[in-house]
Amino acid sequence: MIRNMTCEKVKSLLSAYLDSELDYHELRQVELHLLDCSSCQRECRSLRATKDLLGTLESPPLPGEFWPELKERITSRSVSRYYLRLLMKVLAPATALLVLAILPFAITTHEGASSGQVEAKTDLIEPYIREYVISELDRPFSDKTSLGFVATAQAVTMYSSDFLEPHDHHTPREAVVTQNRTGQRTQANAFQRVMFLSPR
Amino acid sequence: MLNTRALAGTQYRESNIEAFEELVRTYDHKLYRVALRLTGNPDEAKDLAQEALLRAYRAFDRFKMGTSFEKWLFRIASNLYIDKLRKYGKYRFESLDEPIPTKDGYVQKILPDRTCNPEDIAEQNELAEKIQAALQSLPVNYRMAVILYDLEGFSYAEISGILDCSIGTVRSRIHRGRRLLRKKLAPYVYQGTDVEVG
Repeated sequence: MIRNMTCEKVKSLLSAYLDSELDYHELRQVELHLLDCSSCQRECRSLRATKDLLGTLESPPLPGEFWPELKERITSRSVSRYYLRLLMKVLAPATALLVLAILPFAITTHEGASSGQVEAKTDLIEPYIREYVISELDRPFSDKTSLGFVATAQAVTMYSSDFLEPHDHHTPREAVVTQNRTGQRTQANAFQRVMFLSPR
Repeated sequence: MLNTRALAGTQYRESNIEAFEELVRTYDHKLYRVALRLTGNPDEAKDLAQEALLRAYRAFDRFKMGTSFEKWLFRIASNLYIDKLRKYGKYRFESLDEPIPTKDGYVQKILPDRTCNPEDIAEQNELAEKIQAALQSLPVNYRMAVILYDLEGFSYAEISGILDCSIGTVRSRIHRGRRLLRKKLAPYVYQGTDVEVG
């Protein structure tokens, strides 16, 4: 294997050889090759001379103004960055407040045109759905889930109180009496909004 | 040495600058030397080293505790230098002895004097100038590897970390850099040796 190493390969490893950065096998191969190859020996000497030449460069001193200038640069940039951050801290909430202030007006304006149509449609179908729900609630085997209820007294009470306020105070509330599995009877108010229903 | 945790989450306070100074005092001179050999100009070198330290100061939160601070710092500096070369396009490969073709034939190139202080010029010997000029003429990757190894004594493994390349690449760059330097500095390299110019 050692005999197969060419001059070209050895020469490419000579800098690493001079720097003691070859692994054991490479080192042995290069050393053995150098014993017999005058061309590679010359190459090695010239590279060593180049390396030594670089070592003759003197170390320049650190300029005296280096740290005072650097501190000034750190401070000046820090101050400007500090004020930038401060500005952002002030601007960001101000922008958020502005958006929050404008948003309701924008939404109202946007919804203004379409809201009337939605109400009209809802009013048209509502009486029919309401009647259906009322009649179904009164039947002991009706599917309360499809009506938007969990078949418990608490649920009926909750829905009746939260969603089922009458249109106006002059109209008496229509009472709905339902009965759960345990036989407990619960009275619920009539429905004003039944949009959560999925009638069969 | 100062505990590096002292600067974690650093805010811009005078005390932190002092702490940072204490931390990097070990490396500032080395950093300046590398910058000077890279740029060949004391003003540029000072600017480069200061900018690198400034970035290190600002990015200190991102420094991974337990890793080499020196390697991290020099990596910042080398990346910064390469960025500046790309941005301003100052770097170009040029031959020291290649004549310039003109209408009237060839003229010998006069290399730019990269030192700015006349007193320094007087003090520097001819050899140092030639070596610096030869270093300047190297491609930047070769130059960095040669400077870090031959002038500052980093190991191949450390250079591989700084320059973000494999050890094999470092080996190759140093070797090619030295061969180019040998060619450019031939009269000095072969002075007193029995070898011929290769």
